Amino acid sequence: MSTALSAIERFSRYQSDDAQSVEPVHCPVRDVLDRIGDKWSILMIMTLAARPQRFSELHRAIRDISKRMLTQTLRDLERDGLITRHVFPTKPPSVEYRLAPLGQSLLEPMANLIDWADRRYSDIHAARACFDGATVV
Amino acid sequence: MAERHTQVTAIVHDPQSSDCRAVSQVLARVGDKWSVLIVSLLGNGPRRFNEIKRMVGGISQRMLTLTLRGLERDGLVTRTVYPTVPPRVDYELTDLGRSLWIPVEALGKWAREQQPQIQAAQRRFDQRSSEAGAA
Repeated sequence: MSTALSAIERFSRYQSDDAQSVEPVHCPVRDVLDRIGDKWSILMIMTLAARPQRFSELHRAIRDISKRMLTQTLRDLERDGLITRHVFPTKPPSVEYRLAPLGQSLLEPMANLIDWADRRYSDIHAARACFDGATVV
Repeated sequence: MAERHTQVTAIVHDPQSSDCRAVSQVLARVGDKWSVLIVSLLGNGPRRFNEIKRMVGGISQRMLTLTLRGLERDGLVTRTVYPTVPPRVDYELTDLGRSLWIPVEALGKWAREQQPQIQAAQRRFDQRSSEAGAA
């Protein structure tokens, strides 16, 4: 816990330093969170954790993502070095996506977040119902 | 590594189950950059609206209001109004929010540690793309 506390202290210091700088957008942690703090990226990485997948398989696994958003998310994840793209010279060419070692290293912290969402979603849904009930005019 | 891999996939649910949809909805909240940053900084104790705005940096007034409202609705933060002049509004993590802070902070730690590798990967990707574009 002391490690976590020192981490948050560093993070807060970082954040306040950052607040004084001209371009908060350049905060490197922010840059990384742009990716991993994105629902589609999280779902994609968790889906690829099982095994390499083709584009159509990913689309089937995460059905409420649009094709355009799927393409963009995969490209962003590849650019960040979290996944790799492999083209097989079949007819038509088949494209497979795999987790890169960097993506693998994200699995454990991400799994903790998913695990939390899994354990606490009923509390969140109860809180939402309560909030919505309280704010109905 | 392979063992950890299996362990992780074990908690991925059947995407068609209602459980999975519910978890997905929750992830839409916690898998949001602003929510993650706000939960992370509230880990140090209650903050006022303007303090949060300053600390997060680059967030619009409207987006901060919406995000805080979403977090409050989800039972992750509480909003307390003090009857001072002008009124002071504090935001604080609830017990539920504090339980979320732990995995969020672990992700933040990963982000800080891996950030140089990610930037290097981005540079390589952009170079490959520009080479492919030039060819």
